[in-house]
Order: sequence, then C-alpha cells, then structure tokens
Amino acid sequence: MELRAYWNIIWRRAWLVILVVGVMALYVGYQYYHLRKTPGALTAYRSDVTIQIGLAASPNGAADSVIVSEALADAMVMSPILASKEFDTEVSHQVALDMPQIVQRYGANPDLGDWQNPGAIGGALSSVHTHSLVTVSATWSSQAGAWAITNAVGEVSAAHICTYLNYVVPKEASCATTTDTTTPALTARVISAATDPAKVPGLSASKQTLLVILLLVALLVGIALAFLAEYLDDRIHNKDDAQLLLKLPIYGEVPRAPTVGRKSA
Amino acid sequence: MSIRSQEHVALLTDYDIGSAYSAAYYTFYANIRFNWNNEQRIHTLLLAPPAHYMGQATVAANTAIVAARSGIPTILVDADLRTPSLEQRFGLDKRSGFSDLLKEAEESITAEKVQEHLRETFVAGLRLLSAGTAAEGPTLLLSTKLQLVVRQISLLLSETENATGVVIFNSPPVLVGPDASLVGTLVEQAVLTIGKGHTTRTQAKQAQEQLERAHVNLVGIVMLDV
Repeated sequence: MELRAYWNIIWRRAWLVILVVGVMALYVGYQYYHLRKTPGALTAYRSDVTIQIGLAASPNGAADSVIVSEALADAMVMSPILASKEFDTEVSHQVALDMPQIVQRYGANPDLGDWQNPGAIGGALSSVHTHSLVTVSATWSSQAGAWAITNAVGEVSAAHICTYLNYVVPKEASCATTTDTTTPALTARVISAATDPAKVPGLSASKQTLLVILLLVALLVGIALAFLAEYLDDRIHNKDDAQLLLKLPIYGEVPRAPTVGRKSA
Repeated sequence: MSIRSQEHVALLTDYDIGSAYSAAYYTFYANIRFNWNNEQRIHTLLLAPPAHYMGQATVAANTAIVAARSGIPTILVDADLRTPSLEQRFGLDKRSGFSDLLKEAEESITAEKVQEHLRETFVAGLRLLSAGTAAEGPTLLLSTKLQLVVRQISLLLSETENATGVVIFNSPPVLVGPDASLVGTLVEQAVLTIGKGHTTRTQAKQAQEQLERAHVNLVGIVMLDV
C-alpha cells in the first residue's frame, strides 16, 4: 500500500484519532493542572547544611576517635533518624523558635509551606556523609521553608545529636560535655551553615515527561484504531478499492449532488 | 416540475451544464459511447446497483438526460418494479408502463403498444417508460415476455428518422432478486453503480458474480458520491 493510501485511511478516520487523543489530553490536562497546583511538585528549592559528627578525642588515642566518628556519621545517614517523628518534631519546634531569624531573612509572613507537619519534614530530608561530615539536604516547596528547615536541622543536630546516636557507643560515650576526660563526649557541630536555597526539579517533575509520553501513546493508539476500523470496514471508499476488487474499469465518478441553491456547483 | 426534495433537484436539468456534477455525467456517458459497436444503431444500457441505493434512479435519469441532450432519441425504462420512482422524478403521474406491457398477451406486444405506454418528459428527445401499475410479482413479470418487450422498444427506436437510439434501463438492486440479471442478459452493456462509503465489498463482489453467472456483459463501474 502506498504512503498516500495510509494517509487517506488516517484522514478518513481522523475523528477516531482526535477522539482518543482528545480524551487523553483531557486526562493529561487535569493531571498537569493538579501538578501545577501542588506546591513543590514541579519546582522545589534545596538547601544543604554540613555537620561534623563524632566523639571528642579522648586521651586514649585519636585513632579510635576517628574510626568511631565515621561509624556515627554512617549511622546518622543510614539509620532512619532523619525520618523519625521525634527528630522531625524537634526540627519543627526549632523552626518556630527561629521565626524571628527567618522573618529577618525572608520578610514578614514568609512562605514556609507545611513546616508544622513532621511527616512532610521527614520526607523532605536526605543526607550523605564523607568520613565524619554529614550533609543534610532539605528539598522544599518554598525558598524560606527550605532554608528554615535546613537551618533547624543543623541546630537540632548540634544540640541533641547524642540523644539519637548514643545507641552506637552507649557505654563509652557521654551525652554531656563534661570535664570528665575519661568519657569522650558524642558531639555534632555545624561546619557549613544552611546554604541559600537553589531551584531544583520537584518530586513530580518527571511526571511531565510521562504526560507527554501518554499523549504520544494516545496518538499511536488512535492511529492503530483507525487502521483496525478500516480493516473491519467492508465499504468501498474510493475507485481504487472498486477497481482492485472487481477488475473493471471506472466509467464515471459522479460527485454528490450540490445542495439546493448551488446550481453552479 | 415541482421540487420537493434533494432527490428531485439532483436531475441534471436543474444544474448548469458546466457544473462539476453535469460534467461527471457527460464524461460517464462518453465512456459508455466509446464502448459502442458502431455498426449497431440501437444501443441498450443497464445501470444496476449491487444493493439498494437511494440515488440509483437519479443516476439512470441523468444518464438518459445526457443521452437525449446529445441528440440521440432516448427511452428510459424503469425496470425497478419493486421501488419505482422515475415518474416522480420527472414530475409525472403514476400510469401504466413497463409492467403493464409485460402483462400483455404476446401477440399484442408491438412497437405501437410500446408507443402507447411511452411518456414524453420535459427533456427533448427523452421518453419515459415508467414502471407501470401491474401488481404481479416483478420476477414473474420479467421472466416471461421481457425479451419481446425489449425487442419492441428497440424496434420502435429503429423506426425513427435516423434509426438510432439508446434504451437505458433503471435496474433494481442485483442482490434482491434475479430482476437485474434478467434485464442484463438482454442489454448491450451493463454498468455497476457503486456508492462511495455505502456499497460494501461483499455486495459488489456478489453482484458481479451474479451478473457474470447470468452472462451479462458487465463493462464497468460508475462511482457515486465521490
């Protein structure tokens, strides 16, 4: 079959292609609208804070301290501490305490998003570590929120990390920074404060590509349906069909009679 | 002529001679003429659709109008005894015609008798032999004295001044009964009318096979509503 014949089939069944693509376009449009309306779905902001975690060096030897510090950083990253309700609640409280600082930085009524929801905070945090340095990132729907949460994470870690990590070295470490040099203290300190939030793709940004793919798939399905309908349609649609079928010459091709009032058609 | 529907105004006389609609019929008629045997003076043509098609009678009427306008005495026979409609298209009343001729006794079927049933139309040179009023079954009527009637119609045309003419039969659908095949065996040429987007491949193929079984000289196709 010639390319022109394929095109004629698609043209004749264009309504079917338009119907399928149209229905899919409605669905895709609704999904895209929903994404646009969801804060942080398409565009988000990320801020990082770097914390050093470890045991304060004991008189018994620095080597042990280095090894334990790496283990603690690893535990901070790998364990579900950042996603725990206790930690995230504390971060949320810290954001409330930091409000004057946030207002000073981002003005009155800053857009902090759903900062009072510990679950949302837990979902926004991720971390990596190099030796004893842990970098915690917060990906949030607003600039102010990303910075506020990251800053609060640094503050909570510096103040209370021992509470969350003392299970790693319970006997040897002390949560209190005392003058007792025989029991090394488990500490965290902020090495790099919360960075200015950078724009990053939102959590659902990849869905945009998926929606475009859905439209293309709908187009292909529509075209496939057009060919299926043509295959199932037994009617003669052009002279080539008739000639091929009956092996007879075409003596005439009469157009549809012009409508009343169009005598010169 | 009263215009009551689109079907009526589809007659060529309602359109400019230079319109695409008219030109298509003139081309169709020219292609039929190319196929004529020049030694023959009276030509007969059957236009048959595979299945019921609303515009079939219009095709026959327009082809007859073109033939008459070409200067050839033309007789249009409404052989569709099941759903006759040509009288209505030419704005004529229902009267005796083809079926009544077929009912006559053999000895009384003469050219003069045919002349009695012919009716002049508003197109010069075109006469209509309408379907008639006989109530008997069409197949039964066509099975008996059809050959004699067709011969007398041709004889009537041969008695004209130039002894030339064309007889065009409007046929019922090929697949509804043997009517079209019965008429087709007696004509010089038969043309299958195919409605674009209406006639199915199955219908067209079955109609062709039916006409070929009856040894009808099926010469071509006319595509409608293209």
